[in-house]
Amino acid sequence: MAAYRADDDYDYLFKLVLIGDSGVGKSNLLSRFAKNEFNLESKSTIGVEFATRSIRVDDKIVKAQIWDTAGQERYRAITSAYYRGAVGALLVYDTSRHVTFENVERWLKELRDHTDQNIVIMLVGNKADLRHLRAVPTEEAKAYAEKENTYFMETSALEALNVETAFTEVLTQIYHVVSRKALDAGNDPSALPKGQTINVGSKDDVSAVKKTTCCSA
Amino acid sequence: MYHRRRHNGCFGTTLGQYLCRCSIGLTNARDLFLFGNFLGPLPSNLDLDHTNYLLSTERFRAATSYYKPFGILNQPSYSSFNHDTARSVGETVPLATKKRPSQPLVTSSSYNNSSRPNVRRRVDTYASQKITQTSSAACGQSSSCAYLQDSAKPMKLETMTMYIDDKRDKECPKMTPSAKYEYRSYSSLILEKLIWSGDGRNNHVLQVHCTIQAESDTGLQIDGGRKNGKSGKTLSVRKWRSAFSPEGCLDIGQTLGRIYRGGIHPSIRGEVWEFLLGCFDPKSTYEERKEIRLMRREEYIRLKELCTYMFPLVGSGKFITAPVITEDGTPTQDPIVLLEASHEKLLTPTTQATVGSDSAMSCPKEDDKKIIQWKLTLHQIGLDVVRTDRTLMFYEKQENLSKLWDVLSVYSWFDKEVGYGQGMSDLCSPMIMLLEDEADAFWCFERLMRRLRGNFKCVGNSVGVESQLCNLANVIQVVDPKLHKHLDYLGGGDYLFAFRMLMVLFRRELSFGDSLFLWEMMWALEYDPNLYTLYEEPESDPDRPEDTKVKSKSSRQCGKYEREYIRSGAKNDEPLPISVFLVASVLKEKSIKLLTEAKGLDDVLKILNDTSGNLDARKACSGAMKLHRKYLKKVKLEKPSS
Repeated sequence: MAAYRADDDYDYLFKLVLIGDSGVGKSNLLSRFAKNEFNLESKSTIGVEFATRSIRVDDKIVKAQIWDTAGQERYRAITSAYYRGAVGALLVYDTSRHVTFENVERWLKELRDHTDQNIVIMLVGNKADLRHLRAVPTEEAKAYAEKENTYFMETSALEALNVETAFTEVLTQIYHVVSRKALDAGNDPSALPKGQTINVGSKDDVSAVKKTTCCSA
Repeated sequence: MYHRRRHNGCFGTTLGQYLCRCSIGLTNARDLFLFGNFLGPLPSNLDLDHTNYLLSTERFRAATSYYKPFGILNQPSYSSFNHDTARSVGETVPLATKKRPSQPLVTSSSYNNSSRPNVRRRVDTYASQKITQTSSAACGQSSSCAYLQDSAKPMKLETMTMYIDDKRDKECPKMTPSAKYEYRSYSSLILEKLIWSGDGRNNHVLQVHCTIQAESDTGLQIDGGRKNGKSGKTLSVRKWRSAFSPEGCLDIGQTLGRIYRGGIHPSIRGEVWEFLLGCFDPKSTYEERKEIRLMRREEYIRLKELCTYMFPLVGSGKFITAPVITEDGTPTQDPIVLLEASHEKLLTPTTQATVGSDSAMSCPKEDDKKIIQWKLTLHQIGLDVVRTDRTLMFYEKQENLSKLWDVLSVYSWFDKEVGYGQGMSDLCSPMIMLLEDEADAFWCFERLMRRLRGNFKCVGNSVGVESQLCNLANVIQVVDPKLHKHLDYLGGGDYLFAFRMLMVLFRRELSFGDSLFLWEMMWALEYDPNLYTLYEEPESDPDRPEDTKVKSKSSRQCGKYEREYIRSGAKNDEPLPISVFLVASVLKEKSIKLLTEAKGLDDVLKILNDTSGNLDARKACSGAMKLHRKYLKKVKLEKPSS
């Protein structure tokens, strides 16, 4: 695990990955969350990119380092190299293209093959603003998320709908996992040194708290 | 420092006027917000209906397209646009004071030298509080305006003036030229992007990024640049024409140096690229080339017809961004598919029958795996086409988008082994722009892919580019072992962070213009006069080009890089492309930073991403040449001992 420097002000640093088929809006979700920007003329992601943003959870500052990956299937081998050390994942599909939802299964497998089993996963149905083009019913996705024991939310990066909530939810859940882990280990999470990287998915187990919630539009 | 001059331009319809119009009679949330972000607070009774967004984006495009003849204009990023901020901003409207600024509103200007000596990058930042200070109460809201004014002459921009004004008038904005610049002495000014940012309240920042190109660099004066030493290095039209014999044989050797030093004049770029990429043999005559061209065009038409037959949207001027079939060949039913492709036409057997065939294709359940495989890539191409160079005026036209889609679709059928990989649209886009004929663009792209297809090829679980990344690792290990060790220690021994640079040849690290310049420099350096024969002769095995390469090569006709490679006598090794050394030189340039500041792979990526827009193409090229020499020398020294 790479050791991260503690030069800026945060209590926890969590690595998240954004995955899903090409063109589902991963990069715009990220730019909406990290910079509150949405770009209609955004370019396709080649390889990986990342951005960071800090949020407050309880009384702690949690810094999210979010890795945005290319969606095309043939680059999965390359992008999965960046999954290492991720404690959370947003698995994105496009509500207007059913096939991107069908591929969620593959992405889940990919995640489970390359990350720790306790990773916090949220299934995200993006482009919820394209109401007239909807191809994936909310109920279908919700049921799937329940079955797979992941969180679920529908978002629109364009309308800034639920984007903040989705990321915050994932980060909060990771935080809770970490806190519980620390409590289980018998020490107070606040006692952890500042800036220390928390690795949820280390060899020792973390009892993941996973309840399916739905905050869809 | 940059000089300012008196303004005497004439005024046409301006973005400024558009701003005024739209911010007064407006019912359109996004428009208002876009400009409101800069203009000031929003009214609270916004119509936030969804359909309005779509309309407004078009209207915005229409307004900004006016600037596109002058080059590249990015849409302002939709900073802080969401329902919540829009409303809250609208409710808290601070009425600003009416006060004229005593100093120019430009808070900072910075320059950044680009790869060409006559080209400069300039970034003006228009400040936050100062803008709100000057805003006046109009229509019950506070307001201030930014104007971009120009002489309205397409292609040759003589004047660009930036105004910031505090009055908004319905018909004609009264302008206070408080910040005004004129770029008269420059033959071209490319407005690259406008960045509007802010917190949606009082802090607004407008950054104007532009490239200023001096006259001498456009290559318009042929050989006349001796006046000021450095100019006239561009391969001009006249110089290029004079390199041909009366029959049309090209002495390419005398042009390569110029291309390497100053690039190619834009008006001949397409035809020069065809030679550099090996579409034609320089020793051939006009007649021979004409014949080859005609043959190739026919071949392309045949290929395209076959593709149209398999998928009628090819060549129709439309394209898809959602898959029309699933992996087992059954048609998909998403509303978006119905919208993009007239479903019944594409997928029902009846219309297929009109094509006059009884083949399996007429049935929606295609049994031919190759066709299914191909059809499954088409939406991916579409998804990338709509995201390729969309800031360029050229791609405002739907027909150019579909041209790019057609060429990539035909290519993925033509080269089934590679098909389509993300990044190829970035490589193909300049070809579409430079070569008017679609077939010529296709073949030029095909030649480029001969060099690069290995990177995109997928074997099992690995992508071809990984072997190049391996080469890069070897090079760094030889030329900068300390850096290699450090990167390896950080977990970057696979050099995956250089993936993008190698895949799209710095298209994402450089501006559009600079990346074309870098490409032609690379190709001129790498030029091998036997390229054409290598590509054309069926008996020469494409995987081992060095076998045939040795024969009758006059080194004068070779690019410098190629020449040094031959001279080094390292013929038996797999030749490394110059792109590997280019990446190496970028890494070397950032070596100190990487060694001292990078504590994780994220830092490495961050440091390298900082090169975006700051990379100097020429410097990178000469750096690459140096490293190549160093590498050859070291490898040669190591060879006898091993």
